[in-house]
Amino acid sequence: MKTPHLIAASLALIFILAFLSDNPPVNPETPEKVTITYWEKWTGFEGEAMKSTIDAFNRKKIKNKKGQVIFCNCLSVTQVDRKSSLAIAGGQPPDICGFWGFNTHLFAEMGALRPLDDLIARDKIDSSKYIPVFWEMCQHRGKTWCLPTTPATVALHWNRDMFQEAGLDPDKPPRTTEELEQFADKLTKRDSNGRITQMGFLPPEPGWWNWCWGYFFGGKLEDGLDKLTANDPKNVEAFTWIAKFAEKYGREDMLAFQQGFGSFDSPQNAFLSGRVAMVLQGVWMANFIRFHRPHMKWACGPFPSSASFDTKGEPVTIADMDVVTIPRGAKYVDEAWEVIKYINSPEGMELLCGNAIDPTTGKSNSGGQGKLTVFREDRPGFIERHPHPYLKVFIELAKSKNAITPRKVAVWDEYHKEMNNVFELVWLNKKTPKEALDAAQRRLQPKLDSILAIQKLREDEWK
Amino acid sequence: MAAIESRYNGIWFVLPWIIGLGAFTLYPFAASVYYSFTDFSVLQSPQFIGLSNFREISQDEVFWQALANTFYYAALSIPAGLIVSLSLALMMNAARQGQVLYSVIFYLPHLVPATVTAILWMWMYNPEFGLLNSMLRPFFDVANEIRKSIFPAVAIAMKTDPTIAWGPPAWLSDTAWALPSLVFMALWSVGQSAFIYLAKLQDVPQEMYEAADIDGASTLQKIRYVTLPMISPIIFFNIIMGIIGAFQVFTEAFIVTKGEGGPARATTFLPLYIWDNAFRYFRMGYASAMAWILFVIILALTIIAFRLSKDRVYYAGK
Repeated sequence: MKTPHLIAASLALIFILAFLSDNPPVNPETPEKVTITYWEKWTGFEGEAMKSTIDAFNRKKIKNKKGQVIFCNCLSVTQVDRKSSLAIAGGQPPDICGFWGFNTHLFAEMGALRPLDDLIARDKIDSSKYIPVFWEMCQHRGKTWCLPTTPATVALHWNRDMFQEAGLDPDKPPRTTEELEQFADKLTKRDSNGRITQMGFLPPEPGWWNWCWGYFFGGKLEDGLDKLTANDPKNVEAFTWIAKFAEKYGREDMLAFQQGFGSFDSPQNAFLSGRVAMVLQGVWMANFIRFHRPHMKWACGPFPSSASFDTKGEPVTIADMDVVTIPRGAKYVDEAWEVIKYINSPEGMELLCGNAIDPTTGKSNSGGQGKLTVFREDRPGFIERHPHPYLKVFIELAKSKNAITPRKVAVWDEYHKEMNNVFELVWLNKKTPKEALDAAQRRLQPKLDSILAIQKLREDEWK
Repeated sequence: MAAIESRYNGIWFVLPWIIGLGAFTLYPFAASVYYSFTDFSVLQSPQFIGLSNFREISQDEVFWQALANTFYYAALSIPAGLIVSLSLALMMNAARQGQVLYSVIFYLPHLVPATVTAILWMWMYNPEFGLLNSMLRPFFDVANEIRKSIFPAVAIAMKTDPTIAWGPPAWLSDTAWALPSLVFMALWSVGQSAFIYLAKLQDVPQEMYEAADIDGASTLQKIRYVTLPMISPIIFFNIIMGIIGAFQVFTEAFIVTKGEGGPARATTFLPLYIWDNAFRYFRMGYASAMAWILFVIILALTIIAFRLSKDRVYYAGK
């Protein structure tokens, strides 16, 4: 063989070998130990909380049926849903995927997850111990597809100093949306040039739940899995309320005011820097206050709902959570389940969500992700030790009958984005609330219909 | 004999590339034709649904809006890019000294990754603290003063509220300005095409200019009747590349709007909407169908450009 042939042939050989070999370079299994992979979305301190919970699991040296010690390798993976979907499609998924609660039902619908009901029944996981809204989020079409990791609810946060300065009682937050408007008025300031220097309430801040406003007015976004109700009159009422702020304070003035805000996780955050007195934020906000403005005087309570909406004493909130799933094609299902079970034990959940003593080391952690747990009853001392001064507010909110979760309609992600668009159209006065919501309804209902029609075609596949 | 043998040797060397092209370009290309007629989420096997995707697209308001935005972007960015890069090249060509220095300076922005460019410009465009508005604000202040002191009657006549001061635009936060802002941003990296123009400009035979001088042509006439026809193949090439690039506009819009295509869908371009459907909504089939529509549009525009160029482009030696 001539030299060029030889080079070409060996190049081709290397290429073909590389193409054909799919064995991972490290063998995950030895007679003593089995290593499973967990892809987790969180980075930063939240990722650390998850990793230290998994470390605690690893230190317990739990064994599988074959007597091998289970070792869980927790990796922070960005865009975990997209990357997991490709890995699952390619037949090389991790053993555990840490997803968001809001689109897990989509993965379930696409057959990408393994139902957990048999394992739940086998190990007698008691669903009645969970706060119903969180357990319900794990269900889709009569099956359980995931279990919770960290739950959250949202509430009104207010700056006590700013309340006092405006002559408001910092212990008496607004109870209705109408009161919120009056409070906002008193808390808003302009300089001698008429530029806004401080605002009471700014609806687009932080702008993460533009879909939710209708719920504070008694509206809803869907009626069952097949009918969207974007233009429900109560939703129109909610967006009219939003538009009122834009009218009253001036869109351009507010836009100029907003340019001074830094990113969420910074001391220049609108609320942390004392520019906006009241915000809708989640249970995690206390962490960021502690990090960036430890001396700030603040409080939180249920976000007010409209006076016309009789909540029967059950405050409105958004409940959402992160979950863990076992993807289709995972190699070590039983071992993955052991990890999920640990996270869902009081011990694991406390380590992950709050300040807890790690029994494997005897040391106290730094406060975990600083959230509530998914359980109806926490073990004694957990709430007292927890770094969040108002944790009970969020636990009570989660138990409210008006705790709403992201909807499980098949077009949720697009619906959610559509509602952001509705918000912008209304905020910028490009359309009236009614027009914008009608357009959203007109666009998305046919989309949902065609997706549901396709789901019917796939019914056999789903079973 | 030796010649034939070496030809086969060559095939061996390009084989890895051919396999790569087949596996990662040709196969997905062909597969996406099929997927456009299916419901396909990547996670499930594709389910054939005939023309359903295309029917849905025809009724999808966001698709039409995204298409209109894309055309608007192309209509602004292609001529603007052409004029700016050609002017740059003509100026560089006319420069007696420092041609290399200028070309390096103008080429540099092209080397900056699109993501970095986008983030940089987000700061430039910040309505309150951005460089751009800091520069513009004094002009508006002067204009406001003049309006207030000298022409209050004008304001009343124009039915504008004299108490509302004029100000520079909010750029990326303003539905009317967001898209032109992206066009302006794209102009920052025209160095590449200016460079290609410059190469061709230096290729224009000097005798032609001398002949034009003897005929008493002015500078503008020389550009119009000598330079432009001589570099027409390159102008044409840049227009074709401009069409293809403009219809694929994605990165900058994705970065500056954090993937939202806002405000109020003002910068939702077709590639952005395709991406949303493919990777956010798990509708790869629907996205493939839109991608093919985009492909056909680009192809049609390229063919039209070729037709129109027949009598207008001068190829030496033909």
